Amino acid sequence: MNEKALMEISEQVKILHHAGDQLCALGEAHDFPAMEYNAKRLLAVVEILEINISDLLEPIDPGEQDAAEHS
Amino acid sequence: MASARTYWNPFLETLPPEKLAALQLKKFQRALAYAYTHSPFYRQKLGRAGIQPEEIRSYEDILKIPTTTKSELQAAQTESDSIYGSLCCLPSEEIAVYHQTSGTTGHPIRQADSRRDWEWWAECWATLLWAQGFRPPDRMIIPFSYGVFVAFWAGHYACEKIGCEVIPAGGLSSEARIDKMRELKASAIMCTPTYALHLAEVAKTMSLDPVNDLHIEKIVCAGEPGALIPATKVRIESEWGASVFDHAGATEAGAWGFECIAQSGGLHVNEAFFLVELLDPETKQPVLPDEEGELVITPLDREAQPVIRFELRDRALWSKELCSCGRSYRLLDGGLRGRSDQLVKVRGVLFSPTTVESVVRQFDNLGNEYQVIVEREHELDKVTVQVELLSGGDSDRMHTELEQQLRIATGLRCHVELKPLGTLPRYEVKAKRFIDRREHDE
Ligand SMILES: [Zn+2]
Repeated sequence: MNEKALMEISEQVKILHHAGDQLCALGEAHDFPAMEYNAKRLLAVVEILEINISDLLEPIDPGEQDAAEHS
Repeated sequence: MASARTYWNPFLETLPPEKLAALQLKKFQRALAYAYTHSPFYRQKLGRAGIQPEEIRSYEDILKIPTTTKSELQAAQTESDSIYGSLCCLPSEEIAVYHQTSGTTGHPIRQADSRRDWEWWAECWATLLWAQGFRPPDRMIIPFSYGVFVAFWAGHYACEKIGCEVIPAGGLSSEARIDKMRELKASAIMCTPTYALHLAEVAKTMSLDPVNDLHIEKIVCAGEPGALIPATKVRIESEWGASVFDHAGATEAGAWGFECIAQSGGLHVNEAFFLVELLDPETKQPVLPDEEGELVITPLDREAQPVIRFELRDRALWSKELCSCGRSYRLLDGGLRGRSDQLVKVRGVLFSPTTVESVVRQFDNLGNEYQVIVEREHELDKVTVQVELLSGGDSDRMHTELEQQLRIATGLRCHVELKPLGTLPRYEVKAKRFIDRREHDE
């Protein structure tokens, strides 16, 4: 696994997050609880996928952090 | 040497230390800003301390943030009419599940978790179960009462997540649990170390040999320390003929520590999900690398009821070595080394009930249970250690040997009382084996 694979996974997770948000909104708008609440559950899982990878995509460079502290 | 699929998350678990530290800092900053914005308790606490989240830019800055105690959390709930008091960050419609602490040290704390939190709990447990070598088609029996304590609930959902079949053995007697284990050919058990020993005892009363009749391969222990106390670990392993793995967690914090399949004598800290600090209890400053300190923990991704720098009161020591499993998550050498609030002074000597456990469990002809009672007699502290003698044991010899070993280990004279097997209390969770009667005697 490498940075490229991570980016690819991240793209798919973003698509899922967007789809989950849309399904949730559509479920609410059309009085369709089965859609709204299952989408909420899906989004909870999507956020765990994000915790598992997305934080890695914007790493804080320790050097940059030091520079910020001493500026 | 790590093989394919060794890690639940191969990115996080093998991050180089400097990247892991940077990730922790970034996540801590985010968790702090979230708590400041959404938790009335933390907005007030940080405000009183003059802390603005954006001022926290390094680990040294984190040390400026006051730690959070259990009694503060208790007060934040008891002083409020709402269920979760000022600790809750979300409206009630966003809360998915309720649990509470055992209340061993005061009023139980009510813990709110959102849908995401609940997935996160299972994720933390999935990380540890995977690291312990649990894989489909392992069949896990969970002999747990499935009540308000979080204990094994998250373990249950983690088994589902990683594809291990779960047998939810709540609401059954110990005998019925043994029968179910046998009938369904369970390959693993998830329970407290105390209950693992008790179940083996029950199996024997049913004329079953746990090793040859029940074929359990792995046991994951949680809910109380013990599975990393060498004598207790050896005892559970020999009773069941199974590998035994320890895990550490707390309702307020999450499932943060685990022993991996390499069993290198320590507990990994899941450092991508938690910031763990070891502090001097007096100065609240980090201890030196070779010093024991008190654990202070921040879960980095919690949503409904987060805690920042929460004092667990467990004592631990960082291992100097990284584990042979290849994870960059650091190890706590020997796991948890007892709780600071269980350290008591007896005749001027600091006394830890855990020390008694490590002695008692070395004797093959003693049962699994013990109880320590400290009381005042003729103005002097008296320590009594009650143990159960297995049939056929030489009581005079055992009495003398145990007193000698306890004296060496604790530095105190302990009175030994030998009881018949099965007469001391048994526990499923949160064993209470230490009784201090001195407050009531005064
Ligand atoms: Zn390891």
